Amino acid sequence: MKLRISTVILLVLCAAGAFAQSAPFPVTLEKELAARASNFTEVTLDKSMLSFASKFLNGKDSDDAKVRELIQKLDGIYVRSYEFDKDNQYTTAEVDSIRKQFAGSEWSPMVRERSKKGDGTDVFVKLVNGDIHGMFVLDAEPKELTFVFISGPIRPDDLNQLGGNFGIPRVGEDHSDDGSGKPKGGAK
Amino acid sequence: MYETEDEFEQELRDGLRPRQAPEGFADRVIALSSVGTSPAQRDGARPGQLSTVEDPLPAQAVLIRRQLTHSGRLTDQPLLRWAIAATLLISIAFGGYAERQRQIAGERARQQVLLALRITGSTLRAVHNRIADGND
Repeated sequence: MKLRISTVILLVLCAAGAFAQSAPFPVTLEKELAARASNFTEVTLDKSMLSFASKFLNGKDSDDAKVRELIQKLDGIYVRSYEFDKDNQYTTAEVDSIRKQFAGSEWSPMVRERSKKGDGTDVFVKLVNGDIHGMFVLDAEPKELTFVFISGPIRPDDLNQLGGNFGIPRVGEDHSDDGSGKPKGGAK
Repeated sequence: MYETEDEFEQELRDGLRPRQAPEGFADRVIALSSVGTSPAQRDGARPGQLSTVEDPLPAQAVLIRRQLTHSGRLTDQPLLRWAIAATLLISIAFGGYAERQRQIAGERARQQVLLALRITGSTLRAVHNRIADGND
């Protein structure tokens, strides 16, 4: 009997460990939002995919090397971006339900911005011993909804260093393009 | 073919008449028969004698060994030679195809990473600008 209980405990711990190791993308409304969107982009890169991609980033090229260094530490990058033809294609309740997934003690709100129109921005970070080990960005605009979930150790500086290369904009610099940096035309 | 029956009979008789074997024939036969047998068979059985000792090799290996015994080398068999060449060609072609597919998948993964970082960068920039605008 004791053996059974300890086996069950061990299995539960293993499952919890596996869950913690590969945090799944938390957004649950993907299909509904994609159905309403006129254009959407979904990028799912788990640890194994990042590891595979890093092999195709040239280590001798300094820009590639920076990207490789960044992604090798990460457990996953998940991006969902939806563009709508009309306003009000998603509800505040839907966006709030996503925000609630980060209301736990693990995640800390870093940025919380709301406009009178109803759109808003949230940045949540997961802090482990003072270091960022996860980041979730939610950018809700009237005709656009974007989620970025990065799992693993990341510093905003790392991302900023990549700015200016591969079409990655520098954070804090207001360029004269449309500001989206997102691919146009064609859904993934 | 034969003018008379006598001629045919004569030739038959000549053909069936016992003759002396060529020199070294017996030795060659003994040597050949010992190649196809196991050590146990060679020690315990005379050439041509049936043995109850099972061959330790599987049937396929025995067949290949027999072919080797008869032809000297595997590649002396034309069909086998073609089979080996075809197998090698298919292996090389498949290997090349698999590597090409891996390269394509890798490049696609690389592009996905860059796309994800582009969207992340632009989203963070939009957030930054919005906060900056709010402060102004």
